[in-house]
Amino acid sequence: MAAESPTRLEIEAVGRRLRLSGDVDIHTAPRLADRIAQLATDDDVVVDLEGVEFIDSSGLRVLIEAHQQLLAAGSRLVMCSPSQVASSLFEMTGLQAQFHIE
Amino acid sequence: MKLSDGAGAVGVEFALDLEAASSSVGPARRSVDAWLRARGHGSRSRRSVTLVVSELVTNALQASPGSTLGLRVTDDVERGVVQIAVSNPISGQAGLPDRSDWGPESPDAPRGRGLEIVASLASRVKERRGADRLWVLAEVPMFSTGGDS
Repeated sequence: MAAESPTRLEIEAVGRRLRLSGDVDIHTAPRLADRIAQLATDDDVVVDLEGVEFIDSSGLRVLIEAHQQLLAAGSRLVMCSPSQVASSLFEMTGLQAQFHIE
Repeated sequence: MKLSDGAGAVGVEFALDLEAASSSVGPARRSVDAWLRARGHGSRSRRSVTLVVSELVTNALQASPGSTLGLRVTDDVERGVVQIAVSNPISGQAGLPDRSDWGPESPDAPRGRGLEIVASLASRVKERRGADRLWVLAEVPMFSTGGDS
């Protein structure tokens, strides 16, 4: 088990847009939270979820917290192009109606 | 391999012991996914199972960090379900909350989503206490593989 590589998540940042590729779970979610937190809350943050191959409640938690922090500051967390796995998880948890999804 | 495991399931079983660390969750998921794929399960079924595996292993490692977790996945072909059983050493934790308490406290709460997800995907969830280990078991119905690789 120890010889196997842990979860892979690549986060490509272009301005205020973060493009995710890989899996968002308890191992990688803190890094995503850090990257979002590095961006000031005075404008929208876009998270491109097209390359997300897996996401669970640990990833959802990061997105919800960022969504709420930006909303409180008058900005938005915009999730664009969610992959099928991300869309189905948003739908399963009722978050599709709360998130800004493009 | 046809056997009855420590958690009571009967079928063809995948077994793995893993360190209770966040770095173990991804490899556990990938191992289960590869095993299910080799057994002919389609992507939709595998996505459901690996999501439940991820949630249960995450819960277990948070309950017993640094310990050794047990993961058993049983393919019960006759019943059309895959059973996931995850164990951690009993360390005073209460185990699963009442089912009525699964899910977030409010629709936009960031915490409490893991068991909500498990409950959405599993037809049955229960816990079993052994002498020194707590097992959480979830049964996930399999989908037909027609056109689904």
